[in-house]
Parts: sequence; C-alpha cells; structure tokens
Amino acid sequence: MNEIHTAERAAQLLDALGEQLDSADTAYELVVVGGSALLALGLITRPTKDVDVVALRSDLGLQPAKPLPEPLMVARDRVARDFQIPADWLNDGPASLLTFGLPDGFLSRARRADHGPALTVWYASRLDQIHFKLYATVDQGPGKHEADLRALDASPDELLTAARWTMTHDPSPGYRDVLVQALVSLGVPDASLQP
Amino acid sequence: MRPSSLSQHLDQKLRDFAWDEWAQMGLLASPERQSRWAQDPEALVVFTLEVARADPRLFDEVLDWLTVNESLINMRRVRAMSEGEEDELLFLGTLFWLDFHRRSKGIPNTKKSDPKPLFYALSTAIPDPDPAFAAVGLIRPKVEPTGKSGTPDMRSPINFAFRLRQLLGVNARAEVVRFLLTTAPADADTAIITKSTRFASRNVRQALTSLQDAGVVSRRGKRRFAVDLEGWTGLLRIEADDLPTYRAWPQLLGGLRRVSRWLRRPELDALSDYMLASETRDLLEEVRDRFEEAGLEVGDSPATGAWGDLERLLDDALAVLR
Repeated sequence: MNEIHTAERAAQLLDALGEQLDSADTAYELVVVGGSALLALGLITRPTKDVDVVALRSDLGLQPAKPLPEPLMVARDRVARDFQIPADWLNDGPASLLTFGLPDGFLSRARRADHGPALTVWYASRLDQIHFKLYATVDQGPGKHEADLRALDASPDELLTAARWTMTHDPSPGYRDVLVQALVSLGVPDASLQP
Repeated sequence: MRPSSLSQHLDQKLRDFAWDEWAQMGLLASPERQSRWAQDPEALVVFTLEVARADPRLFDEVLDWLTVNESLINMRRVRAMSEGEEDELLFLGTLFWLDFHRRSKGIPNTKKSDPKPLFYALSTAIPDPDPAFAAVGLIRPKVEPTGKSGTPDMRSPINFAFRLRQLLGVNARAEVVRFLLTTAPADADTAIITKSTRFASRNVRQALTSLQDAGVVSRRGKRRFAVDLEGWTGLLRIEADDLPTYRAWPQLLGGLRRVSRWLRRPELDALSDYMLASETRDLLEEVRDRFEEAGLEVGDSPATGAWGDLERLLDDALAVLR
C-alpha cells in the first residue's frame, strides 16, 4: 500500500516521524499543503501519495523546505523503511511556493497538529488550499487539483482572491488567459483580473 | 514478550545450549543429550565468551578447557570470528590469560577505555581483579586454571572437527574437509566453503588444491568441489549415514550473540511499540544475511510487525539448537 488513504494513516506516519525525530534529539515544525493537509482537515477523502512540505516554521518565521534538513530526511527514510512506503512520502515538492510568497495571513489561518514533542505540523487552511489548488489547476491542467478545488466548494469571492494571489506567482498574459478560463469553468464568468 | 523478558528467555536457552555442547567436548559437566552435528569450536568459543558473561561458572570452565585443549583450537580463527569491540576485548582477555597461565608470559596493558565488569551481574568493585582481563578493561575476580577439564571424545559427532584436526592439523584443510563431509554428498562452491570455514579465500583455495592433488577431493565444474565420500568414511571408519550433520555455526552463533547483546539494552523496555519495532528492524537487517545463510527466514513485516519477526526468528533459531 503506497498511498495515504485516510487522515488516520497520515497521522500514523507523522507520529512515527515525530518519534524518530525525538529519538534523534531533534525537532521540526513542518508547514504542509496538498492532499494530506486536505485529508487532515477533513476536506477531501481521496487518497494521496505523499505529504507536501512547503516550508519549515521556526522562531525566525518560515524557512525554505528545500532541501529538507538531513536529520529530517534520515527520520523520514526510517519511517519509509518501517512502513514499506516510498522514501519520498514526505517531500519538499511545493517548496517553491514560498519563494514568491504565501497568501497574506497564511500562518495565522494554519491549523496546528502536534505529533509528539519533536514534530509539529501546520496544515494550510481551506482558504489557502483554494489558492494553491487554483494555481495548480491553471498551471498543471484539470485533474486531481481541479477535483480538490471543487470539493472545497469555493465561493466566487474566494476564487477571485485566490486568482489575484496566483498572478503574483505568474503575472504573464498567457497565464491570465488560462486562469480566466478556469474561473469560468468554476462558475466565475465575469472575473476582472486586469492589472 | 517484552524485551527484558525475551532477553532472559533467550540467554537462559543459549547458556543451556553452551553447557550441553561443552559438556560433550570435555568440559567438567554432564551433557543432557548427544548432539548429532559437528560443532565449530572457534565459533562456539566466541559465542560462549559472550553468553557466559551471565554465568561465571561456565566462563571459568571454558577457560579451564582451553588450558587443557588449546592445541586443538585455532586462536587466529577465534579472532577472525570476533566481531566488534566487545568480542575483541573478550578474545584478548582470554588470550592474555592463556598466555599467562600456559606460557608464563607477561600481560601487556592494552586498556583503552574505562573499566567495566566482565560479568553482567557483578560490579567493578573487586579487590583483586584478574590481571589478564583487567589489561583489556574487563574487571572480574582472579581466576586460576583448575585442570578439571578433559579432552574431547573424538568419536562423538560433535567433536568431528577435532578428529579431523588430529588427522590433518589445525588448519584450513581440516575445516574444508569438515564442511564437505558434513554437507556430503552435495558439492559446494568455493565461496560458500570460504564463508563457512572463515579462512581467507586464498587459504581455502590452497587447501582445496592440495586436497584435490591428494585425490581426496574432486572438482566439479569451475569452482565446485566434493569429497570422495567412500574413501573418507572408510578412512574414518564411519558409515556415511552416521556422519555428523552440518550447521552454519559461525553465522548462527554470531547472529544469536548479536541479538543477545542487543536485547540487553535496558532502554528497550521503555520504547514505544513503534520505536521498538523500528530499532528491531535495524537489528534484523544487520543480522539478516547471517541467519539466512544458516537457513533461517528473517521476516520483513511492516511497522510494528518487526518485533514479531524477531520473536519468530529466535524461536526458529533455538529450534535449530535443539
């Protein structure tokens, strides 16, 4: 079984990761987006392949997750071995989102989950997931991201707010054209996204 | 079973096994059975030096046996089978003790770390520690040879290695012949013979060549060899069906020694089920090759199943010793 089917499974893996980190006398706070975060928040029920880490949180604020710190990778790999799942079950795939900035107020909306004393996970809120899923839908085309977006049942206002944020990541006219089409298909026919 | 309980259970079984084996090899004790296999003396020495740390009487009887029978033992092979610092210290302490008592040699001081008790149940607060073991940082009461041990009965299956050594010398040839006779009529690859005999591959190749030249071992294919079973059983005056059986002792006893040491870690009982399983998985991966070479299956259950894999492995390994 290589997929994370339930929130309980994701929590089991993260609990194990927390124990490994604690055993190694190290601790991390992970900021997580994507399918596993949606599962944890009860917003979707589809399985997901991995836990996407967008950033690390510390007293200094959010830090880039790419590359994942060595002790975290060692602990992750031990969990992968123990549960017989792929080593990249926890990865820094979406870390580039941090480069151009997360939505304003992201961290204040994130939901905290502790997995023992050595691991805290901050799950992106529903509104922020709408931002990320809209960007992924436009960037990567229809598929699981669009399905997740529909499952999130975003309002037109939420989609417009998200759309404006996504344009800070890709301000090109070509992107804007595809974004407008996506919004139409999501029920926002009169999006005004002019700069 | 929690780790401390499994540790006690395993150690008791291993000590019982060691006593029974040594009793058939001349140690002053009454054996409770007659083993059908040929023992590997050096593998048993290294194994016993560890498991007898919880049984001082066994430890001292084996020291005494070594003073009587050292000529039958290849101490270089004992060292080759020692793995890690603990085995090395036990070997060196024993070697210094034998040198002192058999050859009146002085005791060098190689102590590199803080002294620690040789026996698990004793402290280092011993007024008159044995100087040979103290030289390597292992503290124990002084021990003198008693000379109570006897010599092995060469007709017992368990002592087949000694019988071959009397015939061929304490060398690679005797070990190669023991392996080939106890696994006969099957032939064997040179690499397997090397792994089992624990001599350098060059020595094993030389031994095989000289035995082939002498006409008592034949080559089958590029790297496979077999014994002339009829010739050997005639020489040894033994029926082929009565030849002792083979066990991969270096692998089996080495693996059990490692597991026994690992289980002694007091912190294991305090670990969560998951961390215990994770650490168990580390152990199982470390000993997997050894036990699989001894014909035992090492499980690969995910998550907390690793502890059950270890319990099953030990059940199977202890069954092989019965």
